[in-house]
Amino acid sequence: MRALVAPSAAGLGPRAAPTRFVIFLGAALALIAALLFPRPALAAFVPPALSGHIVDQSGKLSADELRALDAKLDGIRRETGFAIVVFLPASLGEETIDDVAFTTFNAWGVGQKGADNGVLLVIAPSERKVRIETGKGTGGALTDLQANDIIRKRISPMLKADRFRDAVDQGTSGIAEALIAGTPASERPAEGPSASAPPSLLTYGIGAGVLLLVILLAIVSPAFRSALWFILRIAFFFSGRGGGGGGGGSGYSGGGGRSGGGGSSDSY
Amino acid sequence: MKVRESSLRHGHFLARALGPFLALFALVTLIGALPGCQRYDSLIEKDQIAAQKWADLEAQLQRRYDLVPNLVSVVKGSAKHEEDTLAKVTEARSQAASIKLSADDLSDPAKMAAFQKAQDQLKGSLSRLMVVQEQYPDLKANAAFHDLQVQLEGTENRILRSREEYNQAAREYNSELLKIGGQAVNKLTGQPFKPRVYFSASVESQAAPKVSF
Repeated sequence: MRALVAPSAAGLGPRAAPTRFVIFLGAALALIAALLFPRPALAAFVPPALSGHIVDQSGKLSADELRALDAKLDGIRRETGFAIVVFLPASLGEETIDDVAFTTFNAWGVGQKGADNGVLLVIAPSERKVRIETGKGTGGALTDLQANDIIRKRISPMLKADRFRDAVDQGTSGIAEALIAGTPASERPAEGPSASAPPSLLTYGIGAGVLLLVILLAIVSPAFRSALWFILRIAFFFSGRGGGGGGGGSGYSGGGGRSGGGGSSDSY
Repeated sequence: MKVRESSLRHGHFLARALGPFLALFALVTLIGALPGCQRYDSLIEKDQIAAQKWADLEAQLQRRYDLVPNLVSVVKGSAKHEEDTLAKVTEARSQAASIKLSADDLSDPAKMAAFQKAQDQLKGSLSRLMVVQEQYPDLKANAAFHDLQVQLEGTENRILRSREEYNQAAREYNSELLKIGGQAVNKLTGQPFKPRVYFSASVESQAAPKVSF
């Protein structure tokens, strides 16, 4: 504390030695920290936060249109389980639309984790490029050929006429239709429980052995018992309850799905 | 009698001196075995994940092989003077498809390099083939050719992403294996784990022209 009040340690006299040491130590630690934890490398393309089923950075859609499309896609997701998300970036920057779509898809986690049944439609007005990026689990229902078909026949004509709302509307309808038609009813997306590998029997055995030892010691030695109780109380104190997640916008915040690089791109 | 008594005393002394050490040794072994087992399990898991990603990658490479015969026949019909290019593609395909890698080969740098080279040659020859459409308007307008083009582009992108994912899984496995704990577990269990070789893009494949519509 004294170091903060008297920044010049030199004029503090003989009592200053510990203060000078503290300042030096602080500076050394800061330097070490700066060297050990470099600034993160600039990402090539950083997608914006996911705020619903449609994210428009280009300003081509009005607020009402955004709301309506978001509601439509939300409805599709609730009914069929397929997550269709639309992204209109302001600019692709130096990246290709393939890379931008892939990065954005995985950053947002479109689709359900494990099932990977999401689809991302990217329209880049400044570069006049379109891409449909399909999750790993949709490859059978929405093939690359079908994706290209939807782009050429339903999306590009609208985009050429500068009708962005219709382009997105038509595109997402086409995607939804293809997904539904290509997926048998029995395989429609449902809640997939994530199975984690159980620890091996040997681990259990050794764990049980250690536990038995601890219990035995607790029974035998009162000093050990009180130490154990103390530790348990501290551990309990520090274990917090998990915080509830907050949703924004229309509430869709991704499901952990991954893209396998499937889909198709085109220019218009 | 005297000898037996003294040896008995020595025996008791030994037991008393060594007893705590033995107990401590047993305790340390017990405590050390638990994280050791966890480390082994973790290595097994990461190895399996990497193996699965490799299988995914191989599936995508297989898609590429399967597209080639159709492509060759469509081009042959519309592009009259490209026998040379087509022959190169066919040969590159059979060359690449003939190299089969076993699980152990994924740790062998020489075999992986040979495999990658074959794949890159196939990719390069396919790129050169797709470029010829500029000279043959018939081919360019051919719907079947366009479909194959779309499928090929999709497949190339999938291969790229699968490769990145495999490298990521291999990196995680290698990191775990090469750390002190991993090395210790590996040596204690007789070296069942070997580091994986990464699947990198060669200079040729990076320079190959990207087909645009």
